[in-house]
Amino acid sequence: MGLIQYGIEKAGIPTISISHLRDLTEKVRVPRALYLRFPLGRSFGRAGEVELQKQILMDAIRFLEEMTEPETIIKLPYKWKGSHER
Amino acid sequence: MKLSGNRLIESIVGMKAKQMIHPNEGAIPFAKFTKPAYQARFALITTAGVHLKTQPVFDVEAGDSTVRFIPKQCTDQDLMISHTHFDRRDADQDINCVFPLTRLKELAVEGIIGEAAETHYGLMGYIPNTSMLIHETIPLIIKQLQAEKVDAVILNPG
Repeated sequence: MGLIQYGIEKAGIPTISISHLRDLTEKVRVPRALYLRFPLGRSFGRAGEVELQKQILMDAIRFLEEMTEPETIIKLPYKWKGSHER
Repeated sequence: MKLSGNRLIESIVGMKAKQMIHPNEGAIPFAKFTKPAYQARFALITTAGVHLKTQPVFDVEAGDSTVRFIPKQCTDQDLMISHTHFDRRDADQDINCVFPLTRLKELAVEGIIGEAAETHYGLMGYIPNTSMLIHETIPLIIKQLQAEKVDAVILNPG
């Protein structure tokens, strides 16, 4: 995914990505990322969590505006409740 | 045995991913996002293997690096996931967990963003050989984003 983000940003279009693995994203090196301690497959929350899904999208939009230099990674404050297995 | 959905397995997947990564070299580009969000056009790109039910499934084990163009007009029920390397239990019930196009369109209705782009993009994240991705797929995506004058892109993995 880092290659795609890099290519698009290089073409002049601003990008931001959701990261589930902060150290991986640091190694890949991308323009902007939001680190979220949610398991893969839930980049915007669980099934039916409409408000959280929308909030994470709005966070992405806000940090597209606010981040001022490449390789910025911001940790979002949301906590994953419960285990992966349900 | 399920290959995803617990921390041990996901940490192994994470370690494997770290061995497979292709760090971006040199200066990292940075395009300033200057347009007010309420006037801007946004596109989503996911590597969680999302596509229309009518489009070909991803050939996951072959490291399929092709892209599916997903039209704005589609509904959640028109979409499916054919990536197999993550726990899909939430996303199979609600595609917005990995591809929040419906939420993005709601933000447009609410006036928070200008609009969702006409096209969004589904790929599959397991791509050991990146040559075709770099030389064919990414240029194809960029061409479409530019043709539609997309102002910003939000990406998420799978």
